[in-house]
Amino acid sequence: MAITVDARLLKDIKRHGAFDVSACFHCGNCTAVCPLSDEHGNFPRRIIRLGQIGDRERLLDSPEAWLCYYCGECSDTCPREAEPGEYMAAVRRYAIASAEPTGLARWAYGSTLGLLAITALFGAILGAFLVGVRPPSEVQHVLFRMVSYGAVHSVGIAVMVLTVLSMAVSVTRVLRRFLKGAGPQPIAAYARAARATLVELATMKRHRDETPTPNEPWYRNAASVHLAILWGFLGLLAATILDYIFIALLPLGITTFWPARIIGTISGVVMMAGVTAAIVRRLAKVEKNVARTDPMDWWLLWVLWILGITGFWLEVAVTLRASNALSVIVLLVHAALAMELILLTTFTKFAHVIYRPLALFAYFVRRGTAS
Amino acid sequence: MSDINAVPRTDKAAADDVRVGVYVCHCGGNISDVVDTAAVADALSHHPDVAIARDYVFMCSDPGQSLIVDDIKAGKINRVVVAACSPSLHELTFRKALERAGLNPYLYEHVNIREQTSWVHKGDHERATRKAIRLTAAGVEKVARQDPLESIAVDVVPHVVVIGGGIAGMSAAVALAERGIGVTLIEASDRLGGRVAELPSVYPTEQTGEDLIRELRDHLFVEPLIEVRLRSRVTAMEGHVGKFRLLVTDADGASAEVRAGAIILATGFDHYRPADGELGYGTSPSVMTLPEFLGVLRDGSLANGELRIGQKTVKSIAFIHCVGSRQIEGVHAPQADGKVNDYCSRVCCTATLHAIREVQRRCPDIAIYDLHKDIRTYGRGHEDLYLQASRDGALFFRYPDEEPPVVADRSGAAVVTTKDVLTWGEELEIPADLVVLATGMQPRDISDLIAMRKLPVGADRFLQEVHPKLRPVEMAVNGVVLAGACQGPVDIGEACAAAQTAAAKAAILLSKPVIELDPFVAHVQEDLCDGCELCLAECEYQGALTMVEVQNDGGSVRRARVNPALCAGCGACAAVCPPRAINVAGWTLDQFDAMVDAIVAEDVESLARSERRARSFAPLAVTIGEASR
Repeated sequence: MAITVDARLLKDIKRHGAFDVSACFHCGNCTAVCPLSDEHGNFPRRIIRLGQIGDRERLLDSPEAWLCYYCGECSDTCPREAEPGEYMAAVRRYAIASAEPTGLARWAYGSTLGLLAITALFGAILGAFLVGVRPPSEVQHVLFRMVSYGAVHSVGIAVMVLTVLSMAVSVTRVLRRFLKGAGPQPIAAYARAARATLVELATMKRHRDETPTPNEPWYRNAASVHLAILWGFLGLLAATILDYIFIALLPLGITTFWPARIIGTISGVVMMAGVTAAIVRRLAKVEKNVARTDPMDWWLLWVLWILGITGFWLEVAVTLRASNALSVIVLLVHAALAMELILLTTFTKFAHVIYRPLALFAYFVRRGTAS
Repeated sequence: MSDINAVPRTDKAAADDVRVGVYVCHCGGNISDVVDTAAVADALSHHPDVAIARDYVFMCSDPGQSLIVDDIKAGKINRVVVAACSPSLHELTFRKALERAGLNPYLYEHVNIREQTSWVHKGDHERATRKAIRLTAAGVEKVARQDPLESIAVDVVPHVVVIGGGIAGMSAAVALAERGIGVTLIEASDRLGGRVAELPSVYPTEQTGEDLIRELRDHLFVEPLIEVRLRSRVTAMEGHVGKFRLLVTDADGASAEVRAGAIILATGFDHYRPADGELGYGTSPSVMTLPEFLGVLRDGSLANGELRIGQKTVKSIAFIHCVGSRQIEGVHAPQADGKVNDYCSRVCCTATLHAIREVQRRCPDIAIYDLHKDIRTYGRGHEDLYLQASRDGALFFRYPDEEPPVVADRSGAAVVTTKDVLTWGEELEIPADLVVLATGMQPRDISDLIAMRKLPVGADRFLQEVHPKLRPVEMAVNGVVLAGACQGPVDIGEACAAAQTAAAKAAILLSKPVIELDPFVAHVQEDLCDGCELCLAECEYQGALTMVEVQNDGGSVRRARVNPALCAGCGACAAVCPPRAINVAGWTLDQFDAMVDAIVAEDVESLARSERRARSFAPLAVTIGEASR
């Protein structure tokens, strides 16, 4: 069955970057030099061609865009300066923007104004809930006089449930796409692939070992910065859950669960270091892969940064039992923004937490099958 | 024929008192490292016809040439053989030396004992030396039978006929007029400019084709030395270099004779016309050729950012390359002569991309698809067109050589189906409102002109030059030069470059009142000729051989006669003549017989053998040392 060429897809992708990709004349140099491309994940040229001929389905079925860490090797050596690395980034943006059914992501990615409007709208809704909901709660603290401790938990749980549901839909759809053509495998094969995926996510070993090392100290190269944000975020998530279990759920009557507080503080420091470094990298345009920053890239970094700063503010305020009005507002902002980040997972750049692991998983399944 | 001063061949018997000087060159070791040059000279010194035999380190040097000149002037010798390098290197050098010494320069034979001996027999000095002796002895035998020859003098008509009024013909005519040479420019159609005038714009100056032609035409019409004959054809051509006679017939049937010393062929090319149904041409209203599309660009259908063809606004165009070029036997239908156009037409890639750029500039919303075998934008700066077209979103597909695309009509628009190498060989369907076929160049049908002079034609049916590198615009027919696309696909710049080269070549031919031609042409010994006409059948050069009536014993018989200005000296006639009545001067059959005898003779061998016993082989260092002492 012949594929019908459709020039509109590339125009669509080009709205998300990839301004130079039309210059590609398919020498294949990018694929040859790519340290991560192999027969189980063949890119960037193949992905460029799918975009050019307008084969949207196969483009979205391909996990390859998410196997790319944008080391920039392909862009550096492209004889036509078609910036294949930038194209891969654009495809990732396009995938998030176009592959969810509500159109919200398309709006968020389509214009800065849309992104800000969505942020404000959801922030306002969540804020209203946080201020309005007044369940009974044992923990009483002056800081919670506007946003009650119980409201944070009940709205938070609601957000979590909604997010898990939408992510489940998203994960199922993306996974079905990525695993097309791999065929059914024995459970053990999936287990092996899942393990390899987790190892790669936790260590970014492929990134650190395979891609060329730029002339940068380890503590601020791309892999370290990302690992800091990732582990910091996971640590904060763990601290939040522990806090919730030990203070709100269990009838222990404690007001401060110190292990969670310590984990949270350390994770917060790590994440803030990572996010700050990431912002600096983008501001200073230290490498090709951060030379161009989409509004959505800024959005994610600044949301995380604000969450980090307000988090520390609140930690200090709680410790000092501060009761000033500013701290109360900081609490509202922190809680609303955190919930918004989670709630909007599938509509923002944050969706890469779905795509990247699933792409790696699909890749390891394919690779496992072949060997 | 009065202008041709052919020297009657002297009889061999009349050449008395043959005294040959033999000079064996060391070529600074190139020869003497392998061949015992002194032994060669000594061996030849025993030859009855040889008066002097010497060897020397560099015969081509001034002292080397002086050896010959001095020997001639002293009256010691009247024939010369130099055994040295290839005749293409130094034969002329030594002929000139003979001339300086007052001897006929054709009483000379150049024997090649470097390329043919020392360089190819490095491992066997003895046998190499023996071979050198035999080759040199053959040279002696040949020159001993050599008559003095005179170059053939031809009076020159200082006028050039240029056939074809396209940009090449116009360019050549202007160049000749600038040198003060009169030109008759003959054009079959009713206007000058040919194919170039059809172009809406040309790269990189972005002038229109009409602009280019106007520039030349303005020059041409005020030039009193140029006579333009429109709606005219050459209907007969005879004569030879220096004096051609052409019959020029105009559309009314009136004929006039034009005389010229040289002829420039600038007959141009034809656009390939796709067969009916080839890639939808003629069967689908959405398919046209690139020249037709350029007409559309010219006539203003592309305006206000919109391209309208008929009732339709075109939103997408697919360009298909190599239509009628780079054809493959078994894949493409053959042309009328049974062959396919297997050559690259060279200009279509650039022309197509230039047209694409034009559409992109004026109508950026039209989707452009480009289907090619590979892109060959070979000219200076032409690759920019490819890059820019690509950058501006033209989408390129590469179809396999053996599987050209298929064009079908589907509800008013075309659909191009192709296998795409860039999409790992998958089959793609490309919907397009318009399909443009980048048709190649074909030779024009000038079979009448070709027949008039048996003009050499290549396997691709284009006219063929003598040598693609060293004589790129000359034809094997002396005095006929090529300009532009009649010789093969060229772009405008190349056509003009060729035209100006052709003009220069013609000007050189006409620069002297008399042209001297090599005397190595056929001669008929009428008393031996029996009029069998076998020679006529073999002759490739129109008019070089004719049969004439001569009086014989009161009766009239037919005998062959040579026109020396037309004869190329190829020897085909001599090879078939049963009574050996035809010979090529300087290469007679008697000379060949004697050379062969010398090469196989026993005594030459024994000569060498005795010499070898007497002398030991002298290495280069010693020889040079002796020479300098």
